[in-house]
Order: sequence, then structure tokens, then C-alpha cells
Amino acid sequence: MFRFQLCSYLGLSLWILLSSPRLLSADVAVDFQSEVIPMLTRAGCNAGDCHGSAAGRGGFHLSLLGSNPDRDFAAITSEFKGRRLNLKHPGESLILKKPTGYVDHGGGNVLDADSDEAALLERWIAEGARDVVQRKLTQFHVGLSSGNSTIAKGQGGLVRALATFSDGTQLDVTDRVTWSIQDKDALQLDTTTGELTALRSGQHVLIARFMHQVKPLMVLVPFNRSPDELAVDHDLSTLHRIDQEIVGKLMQLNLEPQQRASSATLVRRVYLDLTGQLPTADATREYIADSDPHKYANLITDLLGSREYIDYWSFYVARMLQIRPQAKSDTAARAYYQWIREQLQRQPYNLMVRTLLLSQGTIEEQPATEFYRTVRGAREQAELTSELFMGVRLRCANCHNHPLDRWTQDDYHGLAAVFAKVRQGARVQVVSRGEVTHPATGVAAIPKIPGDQYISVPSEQENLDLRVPFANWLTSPKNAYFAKTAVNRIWSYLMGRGLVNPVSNMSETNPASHSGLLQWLADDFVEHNFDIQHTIRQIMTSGAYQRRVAHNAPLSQQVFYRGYLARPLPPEVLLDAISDVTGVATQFTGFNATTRAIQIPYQDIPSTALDAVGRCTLEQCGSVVNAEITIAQRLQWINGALINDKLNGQESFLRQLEQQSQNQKLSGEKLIQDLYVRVYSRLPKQAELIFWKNQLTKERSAGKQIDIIRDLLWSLLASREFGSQH
Amino acid sequence: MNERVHARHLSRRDVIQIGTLAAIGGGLHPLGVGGLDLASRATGDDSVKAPNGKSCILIWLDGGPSHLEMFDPKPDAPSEVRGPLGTVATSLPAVRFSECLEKTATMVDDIAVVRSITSPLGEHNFGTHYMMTGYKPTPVLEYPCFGSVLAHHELQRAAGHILPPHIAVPHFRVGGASFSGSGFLPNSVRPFSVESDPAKPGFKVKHLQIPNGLTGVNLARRKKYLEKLNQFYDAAAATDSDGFQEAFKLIGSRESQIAFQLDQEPDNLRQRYGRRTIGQSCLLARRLVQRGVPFVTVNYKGWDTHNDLMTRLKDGYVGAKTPVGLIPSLDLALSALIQDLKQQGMLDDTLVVVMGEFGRTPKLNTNGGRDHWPRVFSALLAGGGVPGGQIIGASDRTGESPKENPITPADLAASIYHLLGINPAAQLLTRDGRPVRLTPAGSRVISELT
Repeated sequence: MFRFQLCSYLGLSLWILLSSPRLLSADVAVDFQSEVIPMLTRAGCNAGDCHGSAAGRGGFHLSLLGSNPDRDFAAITSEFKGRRLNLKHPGESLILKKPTGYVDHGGGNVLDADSDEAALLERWIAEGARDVVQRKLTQFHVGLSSGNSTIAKGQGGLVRALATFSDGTQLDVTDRVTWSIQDKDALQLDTTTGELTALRSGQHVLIARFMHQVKPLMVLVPFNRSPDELAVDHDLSTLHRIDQEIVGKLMQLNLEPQQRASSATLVRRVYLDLTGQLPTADATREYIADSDPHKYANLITDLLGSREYIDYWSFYVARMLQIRPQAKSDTAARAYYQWIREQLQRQPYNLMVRTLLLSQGTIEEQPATEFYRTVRGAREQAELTSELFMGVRLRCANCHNHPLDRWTQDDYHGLAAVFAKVRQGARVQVVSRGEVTHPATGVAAIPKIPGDQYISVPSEQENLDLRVPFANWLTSPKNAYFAKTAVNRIWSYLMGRGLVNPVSNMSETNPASHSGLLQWLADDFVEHNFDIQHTIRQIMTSGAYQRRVAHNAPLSQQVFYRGYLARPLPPEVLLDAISDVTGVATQFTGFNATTRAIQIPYQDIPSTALDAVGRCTLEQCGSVVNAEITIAQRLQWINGALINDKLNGQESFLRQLEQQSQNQKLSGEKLIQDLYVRVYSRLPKQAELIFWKNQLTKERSAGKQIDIIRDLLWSLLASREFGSQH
Repeated sequence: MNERVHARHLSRRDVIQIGTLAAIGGGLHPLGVGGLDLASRATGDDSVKAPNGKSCILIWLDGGPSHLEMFDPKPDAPSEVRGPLGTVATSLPAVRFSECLEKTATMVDDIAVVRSITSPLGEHNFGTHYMMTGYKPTPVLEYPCFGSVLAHHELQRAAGHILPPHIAVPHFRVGGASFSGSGFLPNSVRPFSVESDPAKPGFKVKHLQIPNGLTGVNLARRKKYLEKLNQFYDAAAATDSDGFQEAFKLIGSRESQIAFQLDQEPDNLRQRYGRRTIGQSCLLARRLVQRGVPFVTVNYKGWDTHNDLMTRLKDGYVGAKTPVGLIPSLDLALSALIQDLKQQGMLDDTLVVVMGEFGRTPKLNTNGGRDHWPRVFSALLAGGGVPGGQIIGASDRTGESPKENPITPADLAASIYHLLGINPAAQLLTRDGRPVRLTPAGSRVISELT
């Protein structure tokens, strides 16, 4: 049984125990934190565009979505000498009359005067407008009352939210929760009754917010199958651990996974994902012909041990770290890149990141210090670090507590405070002075580990390197983000889409498509000493990785990995492939003639060739590995020098063909097969062979035939099949 | 390779070969006739009416333009709100614009300014998506911008377009550059970026000419082979362009060669628009619209002024004697554009929209700049049937909140579609077959704009 099913089962039991309706009796006083604040959140009072905005509204400032109940209590009860409340005549309180429309309210008529919500507020005021209970929310669970996570399309289910408090109380808080649905065309929710209706098939997310906790609820709505199709049934116990969850979910959704891809497809796919290179024609033919049942696993092992693997995965890490050349020279960038290559060869990932975080000195002493010259400023360093190694976007918590996740301003500025004592520059050094101002307090922010405790600095240890406790926390085997972010990234490179998508946005409101799988991958990574190769091998030996592409599958099904996800090749890989196929290398200024595009340490090298294949600079597009090709670039492909020079070049493959074929007609069939194997890493299908043979026979002279072949080669290089990883 | 020489030496044989390309492409007419009333354009006559249906020029002020330094100044507010710039009067009573918008201020009869746009989204990508599509961004779907919707509409209506129906000058990297523009619509309506600065002397759309060593026969064959290969690979996906279809169309047509030749415009006109990128981009936009392009996005970057207001917005550089910053350059370009459209008889059929993703903080920050402020900001509309000489809505005393007639970006979107002759309640279909309303339910067309 999967973990999430276990949780639902537990949740269901709890719910059954507590299924008596919430008592509205006068014996139980209204609780400010667990009743009034959630009601204000539901009504939208403390939303980002109303009183919850950074500057408040109309002079009334509440914390965003109820993140700071103590401050809210003060604002409601004490501000302006308490004029918002009328304790003697509660119904006359301004805080009641405004939202109910009795007094002019910029936000309009938010509550009905005779609603339960208004009654709740009035009762709270009548009881003295107090915040006495002071209990903490310890657990918050949401689920379907049926216990599982599936609803048939067109059918309904009941959502339930359960809260457990520090004093042991457990409550059904379904009608206090603020619900939000990402895809309103897919799910409809009656927030009073908790009745949920499924409108579209797929996996849909419902976000529940209560007090300071946010929880996602994933609902599966199976797809229709025609009545004569057999039900999808697989014996999960025989499958690779990764496939247990993926195929399990496909079964719940009534989707049949694609079959395993052919040898030709797999050899190309594996070569590209491990080395960023196409297999040679010989390697392709050899693999296709090999009948060894272990050939697939052996191929992976061979390639993982190759220099080309280090080349390609150094490229991934270099792009992730946003290596950029300094203004006057790229020596530092090159040294940084070399360091990454060495780390990838020798060190487990956690140690590599530790070294990076704790680096100091000059570039000659420690190339990893370039990490601290990538961006300027302590806050920027905090944003970069959290995005890369925690997979979270702390940025929104700069000006207010993060609206979509658990991060507070204290977290953001607290992490910036860690980096404030690191002097960036030619010599990266920890200094005793350096701070960031917390915008809410106006004084220096206290160094803090995000989501965790403050870092205390004994006064006699002014020079303490605050990065040490942070790095210890981050790279610890128990850290909830580090391993998950790493494996999610590796998964996204190999599978075409992160389990959390985008990879830099792990948050409660952006749950993983297969959360149990992500957790398992992370745990497995940690257990194997943060060995990247191990995780790569795990993923590549799964059934999910080896499937055929599901052409024509609706976009909404991509997230289930029913088939392998085809996607454009990274621009550098595409350029290298074009060079390999045509036999004409691309020259890059400042690098020797044999340098491949993926071996260039940084993204922003001036190169019209890279521009033509869709490379976008850091400034334009950030560190996006895939960029889309525009019409302007296609014009380059058609009329520009990039492809045409490679097709016409003296040393080009076509010239060789031409010389071989002097005055003899080229044998159509063999030629086409050779072309396909060279360019597509597969043999042509019968229909393709016939068509191209036909084209060739339209011309008799060898010269004209070469012209046709040149055009065919151009088209092969421009085609979708060539330009994608599939 | 000297492309000019090549063109002049175009032999009759080459013309036929280009014609061959056209024949294979199906419906291409290299001498300029195709689906649109362009007969007179073949002779180079520039005074041609816009095609059926309205066109639009969107001047996108990327980064979040300060409403307080532009169309909604607060001269009577305290100095930390008022900012460093003064104001000028317009012919409308009690309506003043920033001192840097002198020329536009004299043309107030032709423009409508909305001062009460309000949005909750203060981040560049989110705000940009909201303003350009009328929809708040969601992880579920990327929506198409006005340009791509209009382009889609036009392609359905008349398939003979040669020039791409949505063109971006100089490029479409807006917001954080992660917005495709076409959203869930087919790639054929992605904005075509000219990828070159119209203000630079060598401005051209590169690679429109067939190089030496290649002929029209080669191109025709390559186009055919490419389509065949894509069909073999995935027949259904092959119908969705990956840019090559449009590129081949552009190469095959004489129209495309002419349309981007900005140096054909009279020099004194180029002077009037101003020689900076924004000026020449607006002129190019007018030229393209005149030649039948339904939508042009002029991407004017640099408005994210968290610091150095005076230098960036007014002066242009430290020590400038004549202000050449963002706002005076815009003022020159915009006033020239409106005047030019009027003179050419194009103003009624060409909607001009000037806006950005949000406004800026009413209180100056510690760097002498302003930060993001979506709660209230301004936009300008002109032409396309918009009644001029009016200010719509109002912000409060300090430019913090809308005071009258709050208008959401969804309302603005509905109004823009309405002005372009498109029903804002119409439905589009995504590739998954999901129906999507063009603008969110509940969005209203602003009556003052009709």
C-alpha cells in the first residue's frame, strides 16, 4: 500500500471518529485564531489585494492570509484605541458594519448581515474580543471522505479537513478552510457542504489553507475507456519501484502505458541523455543487431563510465549554476567549469555543494568561490542558493510572508543575513561586519535557517562563518529539500518534466505529480551517498524511461508518463549533432577547433550558430536549457550560413559522398539507409524507403543526385525527429 | 554577400524559380497579390488602406511604467509622492500630464487615458500575462495575448497572409521572457520577432534573400521534403508549424522584402518619430500595419525604475542637455505615430494601446526610484474608434488606489477585443479540446471606450 493511501485511510478513521457536527453552542467560546482568522481568510479580507497587502488598505493592515495572528489581533482590537470594535453593542462594531455594507467599504459587501460568518464575528466581540485559547495547530489533514483519492467523472465526493491542536483537540474544520482550485474547469466545490464534483479527467489539485498551514489535495478522475477495452491491469509487485507508482496511477486513471521503445529509439535516447551526443552509425547498427538480453543495462554502464558523460553532465551543472564570464576575461569561468568536472568525477553531490557553499579565497585558490561571484548582493545570493539547492523561490517572501508557501520574511532576510557576512569579489572572505535590514523591523535581520531556527552567534565569535550551520542543515541526509530537489532535477533532465514542475518551485501549493515516488527517489539518493550516477541508473532502468513516445496524447496526460515525453534537444546538443552529422565542426571564438558546444563553460558565448539553434542568453531567458526556435532563426536555417556552410563545406560528409560517387549513380537503397542511420540513428521504414528512392530516381546525373541528397540532408536536420529527444 | 546586388540581378529564371516555390507553397503570390487587396502595393504605392477589420499597435512599456511620472501625475501631493518631474497642461480642463509628455499633451483630443486600472499582481511575469491576455496566470494553461488572438482570427478569415499576422519589434521578450504569446493557440500565431533594431543603420530582417549557391528549386524541394519527414514522424503534430512554414512564406514573397525596408520611408518622417529605437519601431509598426499586418507589438524595455528616476525616465544619461530618457522618447514617438496615422487616414482603423504590467509606488523609495505598484495604474488608447479627449476613471489623491471606475485588466482586454471587432465572450479551443472564453466571465467592456 502506498504511503498516500495509508494517510487517507488514517484520515478517514479520524474523520469517522469526529463526524459529529461542529458545536455552535454558547458553551464553547469563539476562538480567535482557529475561527475568526480563518473566517477572515475565507472571506478574502486578508488577501494580497485587500487588507493583506504589504501596505494594508484604507489604513487597516492585516497579515497576508492570516500568517501573523498576534499582529492581527492587535490591529483589530487595539489600533486607533479600539474603535473598530464596540464591546458594549457588538452589532455596531465597525469591523462588522463595513463588510456587511452598513458603512461605506472599499471592498464592498463581503459578508451578508445574516450569515453565519457575521454571527461568528459578532459573538466573538460579544464574548469580549479575546484571544485566549492560544493553542497551536499541530496537524492539518485534508482528504476525500471516501478515503481514497479517486472520483469518477461527473460524480461527486466529499472533501474533509481535519485539524489537530497542541492541546489534543481534534476538529473537523472543513467549513473554516479556504479552498482554492487550480483548474476550475476540472473541479467544482461547494465550500459550505464540501461537495466536490469532478468535471474533467486527470489529476487535479485542490489547495486547502487553514491557520498557517497549506495542504494540497490531489484528486484523480479516471479517463473513459470504451466498453470493449479491457480494464488496465498490471501486477505492480513485479515492477521496478519507480513503475509501481507510475503504472499504479495510470491504472487508477484507466490509462494504458505505451509499449517499450525499439532498440533504435533506445540507443539514441540513452546516448543523448547520458552524453549529449548521437550514437555513431556503427554504434547504432551494432546495438540494434546485438541480441544480448543485457545490452541495455550494459550500454548504460559503458556510457556512465565515459568521458562524454562527464562532459554532458558538467554542462548541466554549469548551466544550473549560471556560470558567466567576468567582464574582462573568462579565466575564472573556465576554472570554475574545470572544478565542476572534477567534482562530478570524484565527489558525491552533497560534498560538492558543501564545498561550493563554504568556499573562500581567490579563484586560483578555490575555483568554487566563483559561486559567490555569480550574483551580487546577499539577497540575490540567498535567492540563488535556495532556488538551486532547495528548489524553492524565496523571492516572494522579501516584502511579505510568501502567499503560496510557508516562507516568511524572517526566512528570506534571515538567509540573506547568512550571506551578508560573505564579501564577494576577487577574494571571497567571511567578514565580521555585514548585515541586511529586515524591512518589517527596520533593524538587522537575524540569521536564520529557512523554515527552521535562528542561528545564534555568540558575541565572542564575531567571525563565525554562518554558512557552516546552513550548509550542515542543507546537506544533511534528513533535509527535506536538498535530495528532493536534486533528484527532481535529474528526473526532469531524463524524463522531460520534473515530478515537481517547474523544478525551482517546490511548494505546498505546487505538489509533485507523484509525491511518493519523489520521496522514494530522494531517500534512495541519500542512502546511496548522494551518488548522481546511481539515481540516473535507477531512472533509466525503469519501464517509464524506456517507453515509446505517446504521439497524439493530450497535453493534460503528459504528467502521468504514459509514454516517454518527447521534447526539443537543448540548443548546444542540437548544434553538436548537426556538426557531427555533416562532418563540419562549429568554431567558437576563444576555444580550440575540437571544442563541442556542450563543452563551453558558459551559456553567453557570442555565437551566431548557437543563436540560430535557439540558444537564449542568461539575461534574456535565464538559465533555461531549452529555448524555442523562432521564425527569425528558421530564416537563418534556410538562407543563412549555419546549415548551408556545413552542407557545402570542403570537409563535409556530402563532399565525401560526392567524391565516392564520381559519375556513378548512387545506390538508392543503401544510401538512404546510411543516411537514416547516420542522422536518425535508425533504419528507414518501408514507406520511407520507397518514397526517397522515388525522389532519387527523378534525376539521372550524379551531380543532380547530390543536389537532391543535399536538400534531403538539410530537411533531415531541420525535421522534428532530428531536433527532438524522443 | 551583397544582397542588394543579388536582388538587382534577379534574372528571369530566378523569378520563375521563386514562382515555383510559390506554387508548391500553395497560394503564395510573390508579386504581392494574395488574399488581401494589395494590387496597388505591387507598384509601391504606399497610400493603401488597412485590410478589412481593425489593426492594432501595442506599445508595451516593459517593466512597469510609473503612472505618476506619466499620465496621472499628482502635482499637489507631498514631494515624496509627487516625484522630481513637473507637469504640463492639456486642453482638457484640470487634466495635466508629466512635463515629459508635452507633445502627447497637445494631442489629447485623439486619445483616451484610463487612470484606474487595478490588479493584484505585482510581479513582472504575472502582471505581464494578466495585462496581455486578460487572464491571471495559472499553472493549468498559458493564455494567448491579444496579438495572437487577432492573428488567429485573421488567419481563419483570410488565409492568404504573407507577412506573419503578429509581428514584434524588435522582439517579444516581455515580462520575464517566459511568455510565448500564443499560449495554447497554434504556433502559427506566435509573434514574429524581427530581431533587429530599427534605429540602427543596417536594420533589416536577416536572411530573407536566397543566398548564392541556392535556387528556388532547392528551397521548394527542402520545404517539401521537410513536410514529408515531419509527416512520417508524427502526422498529427505536423500540422502545427515550428516556424518553417512561415519562414518559407516570407522568403518566397516580394512583399516581405519591401515591408521591412524602413529606409523607404522619407527621412523627415523618420526624424519626426525620433531616431531612437522606440521611434523607429513605431514607424515600422505603422508601415507594417499599412501593409496588412493586423497586430504589431512594439516592445519598449527599461521601465522597471527601482532607482534613478530622473536619469532613466527623463534625462536618458547623466548630464544630458536634451532629455532623451524613456518618457520624452516615447512622447516623440507616440505623438508622431498618432499624427502619422491621422494623416494617412489610418487612425480610425488602427487601435493604438500604450501600457505596461503595473504602475509604481506612490512613495519614492530610498534609491530615488519607485517599486512595483499594481493597485492602480494607467493605460492609453487611441484610434480604432476610441472616442478621444477623455480621461476614464481616476486614482486617489496620492495615486495609490482607484477612486472612480476601477477597471481590471480583464475589463481592458474585453474592451480591446470589442474595439478590434472580436466578441470578448467568444470561445477558443485548446489542443486538448477544452473550451476557453476569450476573456474571463464577468469582465466588462468599458462603455467610455466604445
